Amino acid sequence: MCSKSKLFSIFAVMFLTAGLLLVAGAAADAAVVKIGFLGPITGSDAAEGAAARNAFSLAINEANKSGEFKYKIEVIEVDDQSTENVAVAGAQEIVSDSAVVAASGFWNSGPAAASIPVFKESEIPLLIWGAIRETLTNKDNVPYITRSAPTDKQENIPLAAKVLDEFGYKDWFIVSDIGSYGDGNFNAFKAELASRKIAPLGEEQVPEDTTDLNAVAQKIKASGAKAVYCGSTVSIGSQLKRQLSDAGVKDILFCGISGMKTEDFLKIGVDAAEGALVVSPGIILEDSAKGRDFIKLYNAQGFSEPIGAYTPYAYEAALILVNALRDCGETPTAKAMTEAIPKSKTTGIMGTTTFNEIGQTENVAAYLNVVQDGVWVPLEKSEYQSGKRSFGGK
Amino acid sequence: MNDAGPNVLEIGGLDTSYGRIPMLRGVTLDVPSGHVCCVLGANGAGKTTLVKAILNMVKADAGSMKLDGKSMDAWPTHKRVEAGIALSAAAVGTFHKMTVEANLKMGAYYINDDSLLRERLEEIYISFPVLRERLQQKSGTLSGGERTMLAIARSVINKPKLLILDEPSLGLAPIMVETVFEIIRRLCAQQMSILLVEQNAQKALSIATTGYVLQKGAIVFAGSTDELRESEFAENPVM
Amino acid sequence: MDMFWGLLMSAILLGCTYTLVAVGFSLFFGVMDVVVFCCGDIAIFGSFAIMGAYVAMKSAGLFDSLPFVVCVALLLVIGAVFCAALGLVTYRFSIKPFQNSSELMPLLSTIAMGTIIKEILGLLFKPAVNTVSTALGGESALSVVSGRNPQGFPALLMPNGTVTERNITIIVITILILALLFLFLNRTKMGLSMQAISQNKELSLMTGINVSRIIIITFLIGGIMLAISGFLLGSYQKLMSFDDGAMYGAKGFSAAVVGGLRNTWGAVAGGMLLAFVEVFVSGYIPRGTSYASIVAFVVVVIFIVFKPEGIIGEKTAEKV
Repeated sequence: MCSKSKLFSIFAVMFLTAGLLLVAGAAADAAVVKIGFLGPITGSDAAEGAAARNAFSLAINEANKSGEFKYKIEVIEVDDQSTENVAVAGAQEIVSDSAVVAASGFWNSGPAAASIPVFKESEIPLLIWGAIRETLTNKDNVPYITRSAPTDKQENIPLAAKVLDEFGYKDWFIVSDIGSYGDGNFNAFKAELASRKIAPLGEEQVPEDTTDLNAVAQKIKASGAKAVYCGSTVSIGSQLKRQLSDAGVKDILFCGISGMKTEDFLKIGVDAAEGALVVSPGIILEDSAKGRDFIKLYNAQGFSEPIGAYTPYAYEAALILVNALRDCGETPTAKAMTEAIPKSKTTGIMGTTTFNEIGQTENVAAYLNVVQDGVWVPLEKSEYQSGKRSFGGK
Repeated sequence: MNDAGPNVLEIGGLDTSYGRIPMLRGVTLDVPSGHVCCVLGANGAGKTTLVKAILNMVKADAGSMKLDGKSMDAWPTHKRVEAGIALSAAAVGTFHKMTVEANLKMGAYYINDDSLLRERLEEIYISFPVLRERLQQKSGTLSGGERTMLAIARSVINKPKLLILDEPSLGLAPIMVETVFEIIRRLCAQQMSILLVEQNAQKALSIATTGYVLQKGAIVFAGSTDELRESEFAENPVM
Repeated sequence: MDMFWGLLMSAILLGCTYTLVAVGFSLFFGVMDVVVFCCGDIAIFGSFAIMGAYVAMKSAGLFDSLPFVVCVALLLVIGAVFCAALGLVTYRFSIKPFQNSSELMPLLSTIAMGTIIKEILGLLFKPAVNTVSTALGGESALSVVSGRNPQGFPALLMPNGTVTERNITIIVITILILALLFLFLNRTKMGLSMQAISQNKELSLMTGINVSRIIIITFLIGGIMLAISGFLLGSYQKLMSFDDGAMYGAKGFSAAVVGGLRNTWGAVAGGMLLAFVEVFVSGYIPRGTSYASIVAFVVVVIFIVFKPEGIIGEKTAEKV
C-alpha cells in the first residue's frame, strides 16, 4: 500500500515533468511574435529617439510579463539616425523577418515618408509614433499606415489659437528648416496666419545643418517683428533663440513647435533660453494619475535618457499594438494586425486613441511649455501665466 | 680642413634601385681632399642618382660611404649635410617665394652664430656680386644663370668639407658657363674638395685632377684626368 | 544701417571660425602636399576635450580652489595636448603610410580619420568624461549626456562680459593667433623650414632640414592651433555637436582653396570671403538663407576656375 502510493507518486512526478517539458518545448518553437521599432536612437535627435525606444520596449516587456499572451513579443530595434536611406534600410530589415506582424516607427517625417512604401509593399502595418508631417497618413496608405501622434497641423492649431487669438500677436517673422519637418510646420503655421488674414513681416528657411543663424537674427531685428515662430528641431531652434538674444533682440515672443522641447534647448544658457514658448503634444504627465504612474515606471528602469516630449507616445504606440494583438488570436499575422490596428480602441495615459478613416489618431492632446529660469515649465504653472513675467513684443 | 686623410669621400660598391629597376651598380669612387674630382656621363647614366645617394636622398641597397674616413652609412640626409656635405643642383630650383637673401640664409641652416653668418654673407656677396644686386628679389624671378649662382652660393656658404656640383653648366649660355667655371676654379684655388658631375667633359676636365666615367649605372673608367683625356671616352662626345 | 553693422559683425565672427580651420588646412598642405580632411573634426575634438575637461575639473572642485583664469589656461593646455596628440595620430596612421602612394590615398584616409574622430566623440564622450569625473569627484561628480546630443560649451571667455565684448575678444584672439603664426612662420628657423619644405621639399633636404622632424612639429602645431580653434568655435557657437566637424571641414577647406592652399593669408581671405557671402546673402536677400551655402560654394567654384592660384596667390612657379 505504502510502496504502491510511493510508486504512483514517482510516476506522477515523472509524468508531470515530461508534460511540462513538452509544453515548454512547444512554446519555445512557435511562440515568438516580432514587432519592429524604428527611431533616431543615435544622431542629432537621439534624445527623443532613445527615450522613445526605452518606453516602447518597456511597454512590450510589461505585456510579456503579464502572462496574457501565449507567445513572447520581441522587438526588433532599428536606429534610423534621422536619415532617410538608413531608415529605408532598417525598414527592409524589419519586413524581411517573417515573424514580424507589425512595426512602429519614426520621429522624423522624412525617414517616415521614405520608408512607408517598404511597409505597404510587404503588407506589414506601420503605426507612426512620433513623426508629425500631415501627409504621412492619407487615404492611399489605408489600412497599412496609422499614426497615434497628432500631425504638425494638429499641433499648430492650439499654438496658433494661443498666440494669435489669445495673445493677439500680429507682427510675425516665421523661420523653419527646409527639411520635411520644418517645411510642414512652416506651411501649417503660415496657413493659420493666412486664415486670420495676417501676412508675416518676413520668412526664412534654413538648411537643416545650419549652426550660424546670426544673419537671420539680424534680419528679424531689422524687420521689426514682435513675434518669431520657429518650426524646427532643437538644434536650429536653440541656436536661433540664442543668436536673437546675442543680437540684443529680447523684447520679442519666441514660439515654436514640440521638436524644440528637449533638455538640449536649455544648454544655450538661462538668459538666452528664457521665455521660449513651445507647444507640446500630449498631456502634462505630472497632472494625471496615469501620467505619474508612467513617470514612476519609466524612472524605475534606470534609463539614462530622460522622458522627452514623445516618450509617452512611443509608450502608447506599444500599448496600441499590444491591444491589437489581443484581437488576433493565438497566432497573430501581419494581415490580422493590419485589420486590427485601425479598428482598435486603446485607452492609455493620454486618453483613448481611435483612428479616423485615414488612420490618423482622433485623440489630440496638446499643451504649452515655457522656459522659465532655465527649465521647461507648463505655461499654466508659469509666472508668464500668472502675469509676474511677460513675453516680449507687447 | 683637408688634412684628415687623402680622400674626403670614399664610396665602395654602391648599389641603388628605383623600385625594382637597378640604377647604380657597384659604384666605387674616391674624392681626394682639396682637389676636384669629376664624374662624366650621358643623360640617364645615373649621375644625379649618385649625388643623391651620397646625401641619402636616394637609399643605398648596398655599399659603404665614408666621409673623412668615418662611415656615414647610418646617417640621415640632414646629418650628412650637417657633417659638411653640400650639394648644389640648379635643376632642383630655389625656395621660389623667398628672397635671394632668405635663400642664402636657409643655406646657412647650421650656422647659428649671427656674426659668423653676416661674415659669410659678406664673403658671398664679394664672390657673387650679381646676387648682391638681387638680394630683396624673390628667387623665383631670377634668370637661369643667376639661379645657378644662387645654388652654388647657397652651398658654399657653409664652407663644406665636400662640395658636390650637379651639372652647374646645364642650360646656360656659353658666357654664363665661363663665369660659373671661373667661380669653380676660384673655389678650387681655395683648396675646397669638389665632386663635379658634368656632361660638359671639356670644361670639367680642364679643372679636375681625377675623373670617372659613368655608363648605365656603372663606373667604366677611373683615373687621372690626363689618362682620361687620352682614353677612348674623351673622344666620344655623347659619352 | 543698424542691420548692416550687425551683419558685418556676424560675418567677421563667422569668418574667424572658418579661418581658424582653414589655416590648419593650409599649414598641413604646405608641408605635406596632402589635404588633411579631418581638420574640422580635430577642432571639434578640441572643443569636446575642453568641455570634458571642464566637467572633470568642476567635479574635482578645481574651479573653487584655483583662480578662474588659471582654470581656463589649464583647460586650453589640456585641449592643446589632446589635439596635438590627435594631430600626431592623424599623421602616423593616415598620412605617413601613404606617402609614396597616390595623392588620393591620404585624402581618403583622412576622411576616414575624420569619421573615426566623430564617432569616438559620439560614442565615447559620455562614458569617458563620466568615468573620469566620477573618479575625481565622487559624490559631487557632474555628468554629461550622450556624445550624440548637442553639448553646451561652458562660458570660459568673458563669462561676465556682454555679448559684444565676447565677440570682440574672439576676433582679437583670432587676430593674435594669426599674428603669432605669422611671426612663427617668418621669424623662426622652424617656421622658415616649414615654408622651405612647402616651397621645395628636395632643396629642403639638401639644405639639411630634418624634414620628417619638421613634419611632426607641423602636426603638433597644427593640432594646438585647431584646439584653440575648437575653444573659440565653442565660445562662439555655445552649443556644439559631435558632427559639426564635417561642416567646418568643408567650409575651412573651401576657404583654404579660395585663398590658395599653400598661403596662410589666403586662408584668412578665403574664410572671410566665404563668411561674408553667406551672411550678406542670408541677410539681404528675402528667404536667402536657404541659398546662402549654395551661393558661397558657387563663389568657391568661380574662384577655382578664374583664379586657381588663390585670392592672393602669386604666380611664382619657377621658369624651367
